[in-house]
Amino acid sequence: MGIPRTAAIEYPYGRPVGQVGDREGQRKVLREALSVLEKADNPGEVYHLPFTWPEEPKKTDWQPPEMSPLIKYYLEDIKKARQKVS
Amino acid sequence: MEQGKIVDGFRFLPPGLKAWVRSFIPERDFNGYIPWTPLSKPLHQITLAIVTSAGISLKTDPPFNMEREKREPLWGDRSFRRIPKGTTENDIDVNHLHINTKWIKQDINVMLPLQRMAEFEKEGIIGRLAPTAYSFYGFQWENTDFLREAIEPISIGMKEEGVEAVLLTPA
Repeated sequence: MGIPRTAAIEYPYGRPVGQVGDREGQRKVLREALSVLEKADNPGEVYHLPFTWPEEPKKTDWQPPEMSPLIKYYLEDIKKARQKVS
Repeated sequence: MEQGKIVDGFRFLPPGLKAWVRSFIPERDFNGYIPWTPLSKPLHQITLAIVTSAGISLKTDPPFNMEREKREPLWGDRSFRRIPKGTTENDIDVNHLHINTKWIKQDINVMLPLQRMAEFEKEGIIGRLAPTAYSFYGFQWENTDFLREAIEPISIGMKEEGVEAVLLTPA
């Protein structure tokens, strides 16, 4: 099953609305996301929101403190996938 | 703000994880069934509910079950929690083994924007924020049990509260 309407945002996992304590930034993101409800005419439309996270991915600290059980379980597969692309 | 931006959904993944995830996502566009309900009225008249898959629970409720997932890495808690309007970061616990939950514990609005939506309601940007928001645990595979145990009761609750649109924020 697909998603009726998508507001895509390039923000780190776990903080799709914005930074901690950034009320104005959060409001801007949400206004844009809600506007998709009015703009989208067809099932499956994706709107790319024009926001840029201010930190480099490595500095965002989005990953859990401990490796997730899923990643531990598939670690060898992940290493192999990494080798294939490098 | 970057006009014309195309979101890179993999930007925050380390290279190994990115390559692995890409290996099971098809290149072609999704061409299966997509449910569709047109918006029945303008945004400033609708009742909106917010939902997140981030594993947020009230401190007064049982937390999502992380211990079983640690033993069974392909299992994810299928339950859900009701989060009342007015809930703040002081009232919640967050359990999720795939993200760093500390940011949500500092400001619930980064994930479940209850305060921001209450402002929008007051300012007339949306008609009404539903009395109940919902949280579930987003680590679900194609899972009909989850649809029955969580999504069905959530949708019944939404109908009872007159919800006309939903914003889902995935973790």
